[in-house]
Amino acid sequence: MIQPSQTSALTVSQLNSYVKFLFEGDVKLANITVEGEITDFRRQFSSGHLYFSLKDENSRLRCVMFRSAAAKLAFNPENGARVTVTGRVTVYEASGEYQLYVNSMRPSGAGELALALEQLKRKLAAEGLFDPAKKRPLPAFPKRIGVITSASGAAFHDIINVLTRRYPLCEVVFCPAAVQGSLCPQENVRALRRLNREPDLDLIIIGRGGGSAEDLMGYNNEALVREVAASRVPVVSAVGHEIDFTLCDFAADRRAPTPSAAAELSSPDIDDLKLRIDNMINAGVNFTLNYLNARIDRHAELLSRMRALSPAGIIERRGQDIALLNLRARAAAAKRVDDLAAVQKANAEKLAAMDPEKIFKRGYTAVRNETGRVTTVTALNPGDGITLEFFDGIANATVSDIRRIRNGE
Amino acid sequence: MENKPTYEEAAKTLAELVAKLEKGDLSLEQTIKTYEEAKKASAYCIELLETAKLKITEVTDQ
Repeated sequence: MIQPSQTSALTVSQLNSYVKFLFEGDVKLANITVEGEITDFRRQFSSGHLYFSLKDENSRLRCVMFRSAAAKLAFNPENGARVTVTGRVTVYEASGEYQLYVNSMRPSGAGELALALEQLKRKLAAEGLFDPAKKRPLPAFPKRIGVITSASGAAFHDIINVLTRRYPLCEVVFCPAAVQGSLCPQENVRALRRLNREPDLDLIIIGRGGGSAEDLMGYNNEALVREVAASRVPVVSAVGHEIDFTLCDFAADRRAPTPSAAAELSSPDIDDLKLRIDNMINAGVNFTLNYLNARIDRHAELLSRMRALSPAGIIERRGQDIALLNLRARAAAAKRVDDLAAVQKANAEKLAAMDPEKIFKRGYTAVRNETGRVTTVTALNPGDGITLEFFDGIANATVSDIRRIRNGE
Repeated sequence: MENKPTYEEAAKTLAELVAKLEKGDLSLEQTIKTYEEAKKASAYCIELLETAKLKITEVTDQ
């Protein structure tokens, strides 16, 4: 124990040791948070420790951050950056200076947060975590879909609603996790690991509904982003709304603007599936019908060829010959009848022309004497009594004179 | 009896059967048989789609 006295002076070491003892007995100094602007920043390459000072308008504070703590930094501290650091204040006996041993450091203020995010993004991009070539296609027909989100949030219900409507064939494997706050990153990491142990999981949807940039911060956590990038099962990230991007979105195989959209792009539409089935079976029906029709046509052709060669066919054709002959006979007979009729008609006309009555009507008369019909004047003598026969009666007359005009046979 | 095929399996079977019909080099008997099978597969697919109900399982990381 150091006993200060007026007579004996202390060594420098003793005093520094004593001051250090006082500092370390103070509970507040053992875990304290302070904000300031970084100055005199220096990284020791051999050890990886960071040395810098924090300052405000009036004062400075020496700080050191050992490599183990510095390795967890999500951003690169640099001069002029406003940061909030947490650590313990103690004395470095060798120089008699007190300093803050920093356990954690984060940028303070929106600009610094954005900067830190940008720096982390560049770092992970440089490692290839966001490489488009690394992105895997999602399975067309997922059987088991993992979902990581809050059990109480709207995101889960949105996802379930979409899958119920679009693709109720699948199974949802739900692993709840905090979607904001300090537990968000680690719970999501654990959920991702848990779901990666699930057998036959086709993809994982990780996300939450929209919120402030601060609400979504958990999805920018380096450990979580690395876990997403390393996931064996393809990951669809759906954090926030259209305009909010998180690093998880970059690391995932697909990024969806909303949880509902994530569910949509993860699943086929059942109506499309029905249409596809209908189209397939219609194609099957058509091809089968065509096939059968082609067979029937071929069959009909064969039948007709066969009929031509069969005895029945021959008989049929013979029958046809006979029928033809029949026809010809009938035509010939008809013609014969017609001819006869024509002859008959001509004869009848001739006969009619020979009808004596007609001759009498034209003015001719027949002459008879007591021996019968007189056809020559040589049979008559003057004074002979004759009868003149008209068509409507007879007249008796006496021959008065005879003149012979020509010789008869 | 084997397990009931999943939708993907049934849809794949259907596609294969239709492709077989499309090739058109089957015998009449095979064509009829393949067609019957395709009809059965499509009816099964549609039935699966119409009667499917989303299954939800919850797991924890503990």
